[in-house]
Amino acid sequence: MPMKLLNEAEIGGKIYAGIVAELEELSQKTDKVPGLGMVVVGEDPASLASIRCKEKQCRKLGFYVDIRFLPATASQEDICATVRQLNKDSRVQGLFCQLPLPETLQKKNILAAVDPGKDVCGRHPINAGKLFSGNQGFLPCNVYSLMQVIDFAGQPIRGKTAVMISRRGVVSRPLALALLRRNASVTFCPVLTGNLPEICRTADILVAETEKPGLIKGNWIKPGAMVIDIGTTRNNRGKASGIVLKEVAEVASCIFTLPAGEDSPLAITMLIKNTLHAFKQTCGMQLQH
Amino acid sequence: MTAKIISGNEVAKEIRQELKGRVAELKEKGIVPGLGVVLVGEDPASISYVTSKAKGSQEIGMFEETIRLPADVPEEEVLKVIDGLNKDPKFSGILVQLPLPDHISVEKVIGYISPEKDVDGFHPVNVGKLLRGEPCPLPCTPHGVQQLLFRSGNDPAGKHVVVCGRSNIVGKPLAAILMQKAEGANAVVTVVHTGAKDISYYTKQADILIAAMGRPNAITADMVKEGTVVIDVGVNRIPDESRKSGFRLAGDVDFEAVKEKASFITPVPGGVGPMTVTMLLYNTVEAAIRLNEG
Ligand SMILES: NC(=O)c1ccc[n+]([C@@H]2O[C@H](COP(=O)([O-])OP(=O)(O)OC[C@H]3O[C@@H](n4cnc5c(N)ncnc54)[C@H](OP(=O)(O)O)[C@@H]3O)[C@@H](O)[C@H]2O)c1
Repeated sequence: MPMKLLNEAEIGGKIYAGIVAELEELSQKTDKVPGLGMVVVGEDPASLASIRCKEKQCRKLGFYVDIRFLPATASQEDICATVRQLNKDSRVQGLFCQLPLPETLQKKNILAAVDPGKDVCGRHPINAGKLFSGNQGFLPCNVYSLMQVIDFAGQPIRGKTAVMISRRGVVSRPLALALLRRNASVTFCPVLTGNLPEICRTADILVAETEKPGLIKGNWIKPGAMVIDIGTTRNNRGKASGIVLKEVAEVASCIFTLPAGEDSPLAITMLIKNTLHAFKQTCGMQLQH
Repeated sequence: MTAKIISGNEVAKEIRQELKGRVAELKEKGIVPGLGVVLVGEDPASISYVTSKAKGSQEIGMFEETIRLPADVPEEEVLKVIDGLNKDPKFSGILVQLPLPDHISVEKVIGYISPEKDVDGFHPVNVGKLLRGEPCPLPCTPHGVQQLLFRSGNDPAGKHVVVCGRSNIVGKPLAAILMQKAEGANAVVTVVHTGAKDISYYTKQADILIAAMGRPNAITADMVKEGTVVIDVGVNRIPDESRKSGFRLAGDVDFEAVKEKASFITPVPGGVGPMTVTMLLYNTVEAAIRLNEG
């Protein structure tokens, strides 16, 4: 079987086209437009570049955009006050704080200040809770993007075995819950037990969120499996992968490598899609997945 | 091999004894843990659960009050009662007995409980924290299962645990608890459900097998490898003419046959059952300590 390297741009293009079509349809029913609020603290060049990119994409689609720039010295209270203003502003249905936040700040408190109904990056604990319980909420954008990738690969998820290799599970735990909801059986491997190779070989979908170089070898892979290489994305400054790509490519049917950071082009597309969901929800319209 | 029986009654007794000591110590500092239970309607099963929660609280020296509301109480009234409990310092823990009548939204009511006093661990914020591995009250039945394992000398660390069932009250939270980096956890965990083609493919991989399906005899001896630790969460009523009640209780595991292959096994009744209320008491004591510190 020839191995497929899944192409992010191709997947993103399809989803983007879907968004454009939905907006077109919506424009016949309402003259309101979706709105996205962004809060940026400090002047980290990567963050600013990412914000500009998001702004450009939103504007191209005719979204309303409200960006609040705060100095690196802003206090938690300043930031939360800005967030609360945007929470109340009915022109924005989606809202997020650009990461990373300066290290002196309590990130958790700031992320929890965002109205869960507007939390289009899926970072509020309530949205994690809703994902866990199977209720309607927002998926983190990179997790949402991985679900698109898996669907794009074309195999039904129901009845498959997914194995997640990850210590902390930042991306893979929510991804596992999303897969569980779609009726995959899921194995979580937070520890490197002796029979890890054996457990990996049960996987139809193997998700590696580890930076241990060369951990996952070719002979750990079930022939024809799909492999998702998350590496670790602890910050925006690059990442490491735990799979021996050359070997794994010989056995897997397809491999997808999640780009570093939280702001891959596909994740930004999913941010826009989540904002569109939020907009439709406030308009009281049926969600369409 | 014939399995050793893990007695939930004994483990529960041990934990309740510990809690009694802690409550006595807290009282010396002027802290009295208190549990507020909200019961809507008169479902006999709910009444019996609420009664055992009240009795358990009293036994360990805790304050307890059950607020009984009629089945046709408006949702708003229930929220008002919860608001009162949220604000009242006498209560460190609040619990709304489920199920609720259809006209009341469970999601809304649970979401209304102050997360600090949510001793069932069902508030969405606490559920989210559980998923992320942040400190939070652990849901009672899965926490009880973890304690049964740990205290019977079956530390799950590094073991492969297979959980059959993915409900929000047992299967999923149990998986979340056992995968954390914490004492008595740190396990490889597989979650299976009716979407699996053949669950025996998974159950045979288990060092520790948890049955939480609500299906009598769903786990048979051929599905279990020699030496597995088997925890049976299921509670099923089997019609039985010879009993006065007309039924007997059985778990999800074919106990007689599986006990010949397992290394440890829990009975039904007397296994997981007594642990749920015990861990509720534990959460209430912990909440009292946290509320007092912060
Ligand atoms: N204190 C206690 O002792 C205590 C506390 C709580 C519950 N329980 C008992 O534990 C059992 C489970 O409770 P629950 O609330 O979790 O039940 P539930 O909400 O009905 O969930 C049952 C789960 O088991 C799965 N399942 C059912 N039949 C299966 C099969 N043949 N193969 C594979 N998976 C199967 C279901 O899969 P799907 O998701 O695909 O439908 C579902 O995820 C019940 O017997 C309940 O009485 C005991």
